[in-house]
Amino acid sequence: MEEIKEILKRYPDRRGALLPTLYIMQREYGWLSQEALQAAADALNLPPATVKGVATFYAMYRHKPMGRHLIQLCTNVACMIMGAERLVDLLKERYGLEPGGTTEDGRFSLVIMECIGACDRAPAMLVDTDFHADLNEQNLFEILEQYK
Amino acid sequence: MIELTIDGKRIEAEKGMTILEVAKANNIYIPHLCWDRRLKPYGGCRLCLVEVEGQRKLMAACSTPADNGMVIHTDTPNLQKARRTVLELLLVHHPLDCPVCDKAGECRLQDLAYKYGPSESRFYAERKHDPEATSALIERNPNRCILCGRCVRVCWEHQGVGAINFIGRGFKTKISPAFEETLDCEFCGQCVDACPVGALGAKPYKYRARAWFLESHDSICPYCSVGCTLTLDLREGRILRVRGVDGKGVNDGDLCGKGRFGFDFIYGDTRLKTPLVRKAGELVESTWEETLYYVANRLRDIKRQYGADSIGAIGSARAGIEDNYMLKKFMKEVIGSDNIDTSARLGYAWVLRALNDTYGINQNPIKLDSPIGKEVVLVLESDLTSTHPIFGLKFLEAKNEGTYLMVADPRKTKLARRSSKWIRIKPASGTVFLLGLINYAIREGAHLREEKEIEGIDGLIESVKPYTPEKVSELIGVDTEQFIEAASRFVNAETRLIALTVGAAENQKGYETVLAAANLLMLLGEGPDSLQVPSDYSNTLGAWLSGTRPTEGGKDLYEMLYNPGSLKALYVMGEDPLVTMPDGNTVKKTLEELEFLVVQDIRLSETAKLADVVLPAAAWSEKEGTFINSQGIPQPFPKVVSPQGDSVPDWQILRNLARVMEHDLGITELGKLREELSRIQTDRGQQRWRFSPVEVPSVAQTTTDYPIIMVTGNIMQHSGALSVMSKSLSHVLSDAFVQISPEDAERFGVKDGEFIKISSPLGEVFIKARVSDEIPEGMLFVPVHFAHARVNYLVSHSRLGNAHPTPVKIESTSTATPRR
Repeated sequence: MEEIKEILKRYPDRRGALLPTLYIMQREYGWLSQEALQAAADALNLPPATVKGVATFYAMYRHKPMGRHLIQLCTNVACMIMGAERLVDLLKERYGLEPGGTTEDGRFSLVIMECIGACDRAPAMLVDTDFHADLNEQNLFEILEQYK
Repeated sequence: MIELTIDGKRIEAEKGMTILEVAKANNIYIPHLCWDRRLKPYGGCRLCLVEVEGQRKLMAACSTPADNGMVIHTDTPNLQKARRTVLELLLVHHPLDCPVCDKAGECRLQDLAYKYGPSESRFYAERKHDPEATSALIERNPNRCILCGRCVRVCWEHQGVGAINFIGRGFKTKISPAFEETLDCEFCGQCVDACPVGALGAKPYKYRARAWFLESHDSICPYCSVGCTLTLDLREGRILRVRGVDGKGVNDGDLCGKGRFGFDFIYGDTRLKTPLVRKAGELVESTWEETLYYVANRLRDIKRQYGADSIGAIGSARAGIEDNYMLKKFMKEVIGSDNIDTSARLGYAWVLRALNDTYGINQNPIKLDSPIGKEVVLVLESDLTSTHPIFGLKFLEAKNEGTYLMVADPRKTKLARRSSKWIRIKPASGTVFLLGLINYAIREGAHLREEKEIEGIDGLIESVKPYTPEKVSELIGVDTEQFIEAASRFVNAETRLIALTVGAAENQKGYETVLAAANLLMLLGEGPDSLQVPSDYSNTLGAWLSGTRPTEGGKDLYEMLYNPGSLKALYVMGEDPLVTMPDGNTVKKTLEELEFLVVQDIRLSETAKLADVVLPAAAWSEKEGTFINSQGIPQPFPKVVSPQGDSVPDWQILRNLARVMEHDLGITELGKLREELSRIQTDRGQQRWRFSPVEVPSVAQTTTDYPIIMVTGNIMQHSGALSVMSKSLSHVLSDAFVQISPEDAERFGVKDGEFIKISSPLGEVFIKARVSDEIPEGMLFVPVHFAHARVNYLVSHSRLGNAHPTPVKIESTSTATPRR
């Protein structure tokens, strides 16, 4: 709540603070559940419909429960050429992880991204907030094994 | 001023107008779907594209400002092609189910497709097959939606609600409440009027008529005193729906739920169809002839035996001025009595008295636009968006345009939620809040700034001495700092306004509140235009102005209803004192002690059930009439349907009764009556300012026995005791309830939805509890509309016109001993 108050100071009106507030709620609740959206609406004194409308417009919010770690892997042109699709297949083979899905043990969730701005070092991914590039079949799992 | 050319026509326009606005003002047609005069430009539908010379691409007329020297073409082959393509793209998803769509014939998309050609799209995509979503009054058909967003924007920007929004993105976008739940909003229906296609519709109108068979008449709304123009759509002599039409009436197209859906009270099950006479204790059906002779004989007998002064009459704040004037004339000329009054006595009469005691004026018509452009607006303990919805909208509009909207109210009303500053004062402490502002203004030397010397300043200074910021903030229950900040902002503003309501249904404000507000404003050099107190109902002001009150020393409402035995006979026209007036027990006692009670009404009201004779009156729309709204504008409304059963317009019943009593009132038809009424004065008279201190404001006193304050009032979907006759409005809400704070619910062991017993020294009632954070600890809020709740039996009345907040005790009915 204190954090939201701090954010509110930075915007001319309450609606401006909605995107960062949704990130806070997502962090606190794990995903944007009805409860989380309602909490955001209450915190900003906005109608729940406004909050839900904004939340469903942006691709980077989670609208279903996610695993402990979120893998955001790019398969856009540059990454695709450099073998990103093979990495997707490997994730499925190793962890049973489908794009948009979550592993059975709740460890990883996978979201396919449309370009994360790292074409020069393709293929690239984000794990939670960490950036990893120049991926290949070996280092992919070396990296992921650091996330339990 | 700027000058531009549209379609070869040289046009002058104000700077800042958009191309579309300029074109509209000059009767040049540019098609559009998503544009709405009341909303910010959106540029979503791309149909208003125009060519501007020198611009490479087509410009959206709704969001492009008109500029000096612009040369604009609105209808070129190129534009026609562009518009045709836009329509084709809209038709990719829009189903062509016009044969079963209620909108067909008045559908903007249908009209534009007709004009520009494409009946089908060259493109193909899977059509949506979402189920229709229904709710109490509004039907949503998501498949027909073209996502223009007018409903979303009117709901949020204009109404300040935000019940619906675009959910999702791209092809998957749909309009929905947040969690796809059933729509549960104010049901103002503004979205229905805004929808250009058949995606939103009024449920009561569904499958009722094809648009081209409807016959339309304009009328005036019978509910509150704003006096909105309603466009009634009829088929085969029956009103099927009501619309607001842009540009029409004081409301300029806006309507609230009562106006839009509440018209069907005239088709209510409880309508009276024949006269009723009490025989052997039962009310039995009778003929007009027999009944009128009976009434005439009884009135004559009572007059002979006890004198004319033993007979009284109560007029109606909902009947036309013609009806009320005729009642006055009947009482004066046939009976010879000045005992006549209306419900205005309990509320609006005190407003007028307070204005007279301060500004020296006889009346103070409000101005709907008054909040717009003010620096600070203070709304005091008044739920204006519920009681006077279209006036209430102006406060939201003012706020959107930069006004500092200050709301002092214990209830979290819509205005409180949308305010710049919400000061959650204790219930019924509004007067003290104002006295605190006066005290603060004097400390700041505000009274020295004005050159004009106003009579009574010393008395005022003396009277507010005890109301220091410290004391006041304690009494109203807010931080001293918060109070001082608000006071400073209000007192030091360049322009300001105070708005509140004082009505028969409300017990937390009164004479003293208006007095305090007027004193404060005079002290700051503000005239009566800065004090906006609207009258309650459609014709509260009209009944007052047409003389439906004692004018020659007769008995007023207090004397007639709260002094058992003061009358022998009472003639009640279109009023239900047993439900709408405080201290129901005393009213009931008074009525029961009468020798003869006549009730003339459109339905068998609670009061009518006690009557000796009940006369069926024609309702609004079944007769012509005139309401005077709170702006002082007399607005005639037409007869559009035939009266139910044998009911007759009120004024005609009185004319006929006078004839039976062998008196010619000189009025045989409405024209003659209106001629006499044209002499009504609606100006406010010469101002003569003087301060009139509030002696001792009523403060809500709780005791150990009665620890909680009950406040009564109107809610959004209802108005007085009339709206409960409307089936549509009852679909939204038909059950009495009391709002209680979560804290008190915990304290008294009350569960949401259970019946609780509320008692005051005057009586006890059982009502369903609704736990809600809209009200603070220590307060109950009860709507007054529902006869079966008998809330008015708990409330006391005050002959001094003071607020009479009611301390009560509550007990849960499920737990034997409430937790303390």
